[in-house]
Amino acid sequence: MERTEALLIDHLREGDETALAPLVDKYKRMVHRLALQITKNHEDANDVMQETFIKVYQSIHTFRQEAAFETWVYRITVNEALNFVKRRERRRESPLTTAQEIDFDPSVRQKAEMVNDPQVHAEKVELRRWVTKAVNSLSLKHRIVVILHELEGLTHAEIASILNCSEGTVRSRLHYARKQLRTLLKPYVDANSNF
Amino acid sequence: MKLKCNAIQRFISDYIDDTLSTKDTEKVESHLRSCQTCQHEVAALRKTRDLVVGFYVEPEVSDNYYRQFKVELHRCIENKGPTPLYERLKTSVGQFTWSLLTRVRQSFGRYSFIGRNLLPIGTLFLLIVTGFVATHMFKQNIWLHSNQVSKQVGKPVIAQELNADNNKPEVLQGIYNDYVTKRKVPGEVSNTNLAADADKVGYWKLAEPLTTETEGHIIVMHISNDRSVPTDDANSELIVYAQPDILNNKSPLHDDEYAAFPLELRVAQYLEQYPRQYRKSLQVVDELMNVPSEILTISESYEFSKL
Repeated sequence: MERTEALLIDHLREGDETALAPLVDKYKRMVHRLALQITKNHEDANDVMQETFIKVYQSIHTFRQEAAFETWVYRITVNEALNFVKRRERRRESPLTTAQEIDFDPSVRQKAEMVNDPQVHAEKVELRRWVTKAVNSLSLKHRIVVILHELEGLTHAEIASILNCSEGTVRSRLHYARKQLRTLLKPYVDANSNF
Repeated sequence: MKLKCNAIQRFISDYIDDTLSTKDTEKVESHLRSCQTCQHEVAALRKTRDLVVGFYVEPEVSDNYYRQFKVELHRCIENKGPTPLYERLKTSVGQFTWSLLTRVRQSFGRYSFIGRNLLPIGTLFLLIVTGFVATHMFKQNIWLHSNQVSKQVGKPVIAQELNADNNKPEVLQGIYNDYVTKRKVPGEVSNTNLAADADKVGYWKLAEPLTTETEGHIIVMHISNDRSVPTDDANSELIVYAQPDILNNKSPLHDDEYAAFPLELRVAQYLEQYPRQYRKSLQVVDELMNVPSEILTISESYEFSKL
């Protein structure tokens, strides 16, 4: 019988290890996606995902039921990913080098789409590449807000809670990030065509 | 007209997200009806958002990767074991204390007034003691700090010190150096302006905004690290923020002028007026600036007193 999330959390709290697996199944994609977007490095993302779920397992007793479990997992992931980035920078690894390691290949998604016109197809691939590059070129604090808001669909309040800052900070970071993105994507923003 | 556009800028992002209050939405829409520049701005930001949402390529990995991951995780958890004992102990002690109090109340509740009201009385007692101790410590801190502040509030010493050749506090000197090296871009702001205005009013009047992104904003200073964002720009630096019209009603600035304010001076003035807010650093600056707190990364209150 499938256990509800609340029940799984209770069981995990009581030390039932088997309750972790369904929670991992539910949140693994979200955690991995976020970790990869923040660290921009597959190896680090894998470590972040592992640390996140270990922390979930070990710190479940500190989770307060009044907060959403999803937000709590988001917060752990973001913190772990930031720690990895911080550690990496301390080791003086060039973020540019590591950024190149990531391979968000736009053509992968394109394969699933039926595009008749090869020119339109090529334009879309190019656009995806530009947009992805633009988002990844934002500073970390702005990128996180864009990822959490635009891509993960979280509210300002949820993001503020995850990043442990005020909603105003989230709003202004988002606004600034959008303005930066607008500059980076200027040719597409100013174009009349609807993509 | 320009100021109005600047004021609307702050709302645009929320407007396209549809998270503004009805009143603010009406304000924005009323402005948009008469301003093509802002209409264009809204359309451009909306399109930018749609492009990101629609075309950002999210990383994807195979199911096999997750299967391997789960095996690794399982192994890792087995090696690391459950929550450390002291963590569990800490939680257990808290839970035990609470349940003990509840049990005591239940046991004696029907026999005595104290037993019946043990929880509220105990909580009240704890609150009074904590409040007393906190107030005592707080007063001492504030008293020490107020002495410092009063010296600063009388005349805008901080702004002057930044431009004087001697008596520069180490922290301020560092910030000023940062400003000169990092932010100084030809044609944007000159030291002459800073020096002339700081002597008179305690802020620096700028001939033009610093960058296009921060048009119409003031400078405040950022003197600590943001714990939530421990990266690139977390070090001390000048941050450009807020509009001149929200400084206060006495602002002598005209519509097309921009001001630079040292944050710590404003904080000092504020603390002089509202000492009880001392520890709420974020709130202090929020209220001071009346704007979203991009620069609100003064996470430790003691850092104010260093100034």
